Amino acid sequence: MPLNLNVWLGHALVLCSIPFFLAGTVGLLRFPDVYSRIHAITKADNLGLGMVAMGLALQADSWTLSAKLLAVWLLALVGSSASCHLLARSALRKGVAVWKKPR
Amino acid sequence: MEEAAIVGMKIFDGVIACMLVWLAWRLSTLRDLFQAVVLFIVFGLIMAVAWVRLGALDVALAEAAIGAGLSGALFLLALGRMMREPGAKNGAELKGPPSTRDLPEKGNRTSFMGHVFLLGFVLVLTSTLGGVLFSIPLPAQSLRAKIFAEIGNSGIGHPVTAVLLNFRGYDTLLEIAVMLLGVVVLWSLGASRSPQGVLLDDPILGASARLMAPISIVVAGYLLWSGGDSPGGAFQAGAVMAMGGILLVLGEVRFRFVPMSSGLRSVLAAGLVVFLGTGISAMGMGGRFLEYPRDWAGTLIVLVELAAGVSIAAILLILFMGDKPDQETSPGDRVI
Repeated sequence: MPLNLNVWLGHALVLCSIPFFLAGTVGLLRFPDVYSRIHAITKADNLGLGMVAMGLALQADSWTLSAKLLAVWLLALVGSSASCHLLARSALRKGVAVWKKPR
Repeated sequence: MEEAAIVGMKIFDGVIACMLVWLAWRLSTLRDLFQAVVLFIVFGLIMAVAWVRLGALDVALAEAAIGAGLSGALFLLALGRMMREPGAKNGAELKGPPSTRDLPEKGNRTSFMGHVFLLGFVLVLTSTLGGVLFSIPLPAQSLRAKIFAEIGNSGIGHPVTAVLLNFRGYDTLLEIAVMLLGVVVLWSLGASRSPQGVLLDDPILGASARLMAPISIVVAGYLLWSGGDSPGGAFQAGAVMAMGGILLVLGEVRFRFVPMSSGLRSVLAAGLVVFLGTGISAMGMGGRFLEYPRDWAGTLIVLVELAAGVSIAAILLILFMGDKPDQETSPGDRVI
């Protein structure tokens, strides 16, 4: 087994992203209304993707490959945040009610 | 460790295959068409992963860009138009999401015997194809050896691009011609009389469009240039640039109206014209149509890819925008 620190750290980071994706999906399925669901999935998936990108960048062969992986994460950040905002805005316009905690 | 990795990949492949089948069945039987379109986009992305697993990286890029991205956008646009009453002025009432409940009545639907016949036909087709597939002798005869023998004469390092743009350049020429024909057919339908949608004036969409559009041009240029030695190429580059353009059209008000001009027509036709031009010039340099001489092949192919990439981007963007641009330059109350 290679004792390369980069490879071990890279694998560990990719594995650490799994609970983030899991948490986001659980939030998507179990949260009470549209807004909290969108919020959960966007935040958690962005973080998970960041960890995957970091983990892969550590194992990459060259600096340019790591830079490309970082660029992939940043672009995914922009795209998913914009879509999250648009979805929530359109839901608000349609009059989807915000969930209130029942007393 | 090696066997574990191989078994793991086989399980992954099996999961992907099952997901594809399940997604295809689900999106055909869903009532809500909006959910079906979303599943279609997911299907395109999983298909791209499947192509990567099969080693076809160029096809994976094209599937993700065109199959999942552009087709998804076109479907959503069509759904949005279907939700509005035709013929009304700005911001007509929404009919509600289209669903398969709008299908024709009982009397017009396919009969039971019709279903049986269709099922039998599909089963016969599947078994014939399966029989043919399993009767192909292994190892499969591929053109790999022949391509790599000739690749030195093609001027391109990547075998897929060499086949697409040199060995089978005629097919690609016809593909580009068909795409241009698509635009011609679309424009021949004339301008639509119904409003195309609700004016979406969102600052975040505008900002992300202004960020993504230049990035899409850079990525498209990179894909175009790297198509010479690694997966990439004109179609993928054109699709990425078209998607940047779609974001601009959706996010910026001033890009929603594109007047008809000779510049627009030239950009649309550029790919086909340059491709034909290089083919004819190959005849001038002593060869048949599209038979590039060895020394010039690399340069000519780069030229063709450049023109084709820009052309494909323009064609896909025009296909998204839909209506034939007016001859006058007054935007009026046209909204997208």
